[in-house]
Formats: sequence, C-alpha cells, structure tokens
Amino acid sequence: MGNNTRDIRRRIRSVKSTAQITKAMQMVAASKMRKAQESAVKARPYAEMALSLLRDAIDLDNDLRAHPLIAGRNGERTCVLLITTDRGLCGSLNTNLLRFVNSLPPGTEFVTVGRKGRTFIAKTRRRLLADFPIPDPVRFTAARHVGRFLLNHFAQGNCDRVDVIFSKFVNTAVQKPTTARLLPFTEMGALKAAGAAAAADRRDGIGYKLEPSPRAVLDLLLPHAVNFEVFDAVLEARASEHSARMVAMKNATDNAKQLVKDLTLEYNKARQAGITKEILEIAAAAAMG
Amino acid sequence: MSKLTLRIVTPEGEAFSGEADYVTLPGSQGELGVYPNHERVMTTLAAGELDVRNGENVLHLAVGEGFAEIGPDSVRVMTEIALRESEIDVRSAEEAIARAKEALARAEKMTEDDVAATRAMLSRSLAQLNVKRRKRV
Repeated sequence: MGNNTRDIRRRIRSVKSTAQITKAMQMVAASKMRKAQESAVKARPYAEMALSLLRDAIDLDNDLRAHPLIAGRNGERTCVLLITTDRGLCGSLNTNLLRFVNSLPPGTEFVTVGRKGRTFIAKTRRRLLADFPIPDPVRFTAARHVGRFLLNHFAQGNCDRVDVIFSKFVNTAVQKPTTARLLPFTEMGALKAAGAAAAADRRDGIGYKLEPSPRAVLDLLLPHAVNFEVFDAVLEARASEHSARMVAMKNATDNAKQLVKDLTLEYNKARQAGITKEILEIAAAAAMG
Repeated sequence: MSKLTLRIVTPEGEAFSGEADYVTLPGSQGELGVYPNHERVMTTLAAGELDVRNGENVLHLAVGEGFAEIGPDSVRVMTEIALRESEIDVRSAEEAIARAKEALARAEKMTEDDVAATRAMLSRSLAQLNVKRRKRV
C-alpha cells in the first residue's frame, strides 16, 4: 500500500510544479502581448502621416500612379514573407499559417521571419531566399532590413509581387491567419487602418508644395512605407503569438490543476483503503486471539 | 509672438511633441530654418541634426532620412529614427561608423543599393555623434 500512495504523491508534486511553470509563462506572455499592442498603437501617428503624404503626392501628380512600385507588372512569380514564431507552445498559431503556405504554387519564393517557418520551408524543400531573425521586443531597424531585402528583390525584377503571411491580432482569443499584398504597393494593413483618421485630420492639407518634387518625395516615401508595413505585420504577429501562448498556457495550468484534484482524490482513496485494511487486520487478529 | 507646434513621429512612437520658436531641419537640399508663418511646404529630409529652439532652450536631435510637413503654425516631421542627446549611445554610433567605413572601402564588391544604404547608415551615425559632441566642444 505504501508504494501506491508514494507514487501518487510524487505525481501530484510533479504536476504542481508544472502548473507553476505554465502559470509563470502565462503571465510573461500576457505582459509581452501588452507591449506588442502598445508598440502598434505608438506607430499609429507615423502611419497616418505616411498615408496622407502618399495621397498628397499622388494627388499632385497623377503620373505617379505609374510608379513601378505602385503599378507593378504582369506576371505570376510570387515572393512570400512568412512571419511565424520562434518558439512553440502557442497552440495552432503556426499550423494555421503553414496550411496557407501548403496551398501556394510550388514556384513560390520565401523569406522568413521566425524559426518555425524557416524549418518548415526548408523541410518541405521550398525555395527559401533569406531568413531574418527578429528578437523581442521588435525594433524598427530589424524590420527595415527585411523591407529593404524585399524591395530590392522586387525592384530588380526577380518577382512580380510580394505577399506577407502572418497572424493578425483580432483579440486575445482570436488570431486570424492573413495574406496581404506588400508589393506592388497598395494601402494595406496599417496604412489603411490609419486612413480614416488621416482623412478626417487633414483635408485642409492640400496646397502643400512638395519639394524637391512629388516624384522625389514618393521615391523616398515608398521604401519607408514598405518597411513600415513589414514592421506592423511583425508587431501583429508578435501580439498574436503572445496572446496564443497566453491562452495555451492558461489551458495547461487549468488542466494541471484539475489533474492535481483528481490525483489528490485518488491519493485519499488509496490512503483510506490502506487504513480500512489495517483496521480489518487488527480486528481479525483480536477476534482470533 | 506666435509659436510653432512641432511633432516628430517615428514608427516606434512620438519622439517629440511641443512648442518651438524656431526649428532647423536637415533638408535633403540643405539646412532649412523654419520660423512661424512659413509657406506650406512638404520636403524630404536627409539624416542629420534637427535643432529646436524654444525661448532660451535649444534641443538637439539626431534624425534619419524622412519628411517634414511645414505649415504656418506647425511642423510635422516623419522619420524612421529620432534620438535626443541623452538617448545616443556614443560607442555604438562609433562602431557603426567604423563598420560603414570598412564596408565602403570594399565598395566595388557591393551593389549600388548596398552602397547607398551603407552611406545612409554612415550619415545617420555621424549625425548622432555630432549631436552628442556638440555640448562638450
């Protein structure tokens, strides 16, 4: 009898310490999620200004719609920026993204941020062009390297469009796997979200002179805007990652607690059984004597 | 006398927001001094120093390439990086300069874009150092 109860006690202790760890991971994920969300909010004014500038430039000079980074070209060669997490323990987040990847045509080229995506692309023998590790918290400089690489690749005519696949943060419980067009440049994601606010903010803005010329402004602005979209996608992905991990760790903690309860019940039963048996033995011995 | 409202926005947040009597911007075609009642202009900025004068106070910032939207009573600056004097790390700026110079010495092996990017990085770092050292000189 001693053996059995000792085993259960050992298991209870081990499950309890696991619960402690998952609980700690849950709290860490929660605070990191908040930070990523704050960064996204802080970036808003920049997005608003970039968008209004972009619109002003195009309003002033309609020929700019033919800008190679905006008009794009015909063709099917696609390059995909795949943003996954570096680490696991975040539920089905990466699996959902990689399902997207599976449906892409075989010639697609990939640039990855995040270890999970990189290993997947390598394992499935797809074309991996580059991998950019981006540490937490996300610095803009890190996103700029990715943006520049993609822009060069596109500008040199190596691909006809650049898409980005990432988890969009909807709320703590929902992260949506998303594909968005990065190049040729459209007002995607962050800039679009900023659009309404910017429009209300400064329709008085027309009448600005653009120096040296609308074209020069746009030439400098578009790379900035692309870098920014990459930055924003990474922030979204990070917020998603941390919230998914937070939920996964909360479930793990709850499960562990339930397990401790079950085991405690089992332990008490075993202990009670032992005591009953002992009493019976004593009673039997007394009756015999 | 009327004042300018200056806002400097970067992707990582608002770097500066406040009033100023006079602002010097590192325009891509030369330094640009802005007093209130300036003509409405939108212009590109090179990496360099941005000075904000408000009363007796002068604040120096190092900024990267970007844009400035100048209106009669406001200046909005949009740039990828803007650092105050206290935020500049001399050692890392010096290291960046050394790296950039070394890379430029081997420039023939790099593509034009890489050279341009390295030059841009060099001027950003130099701007940071200039801002940092100004007070001590």
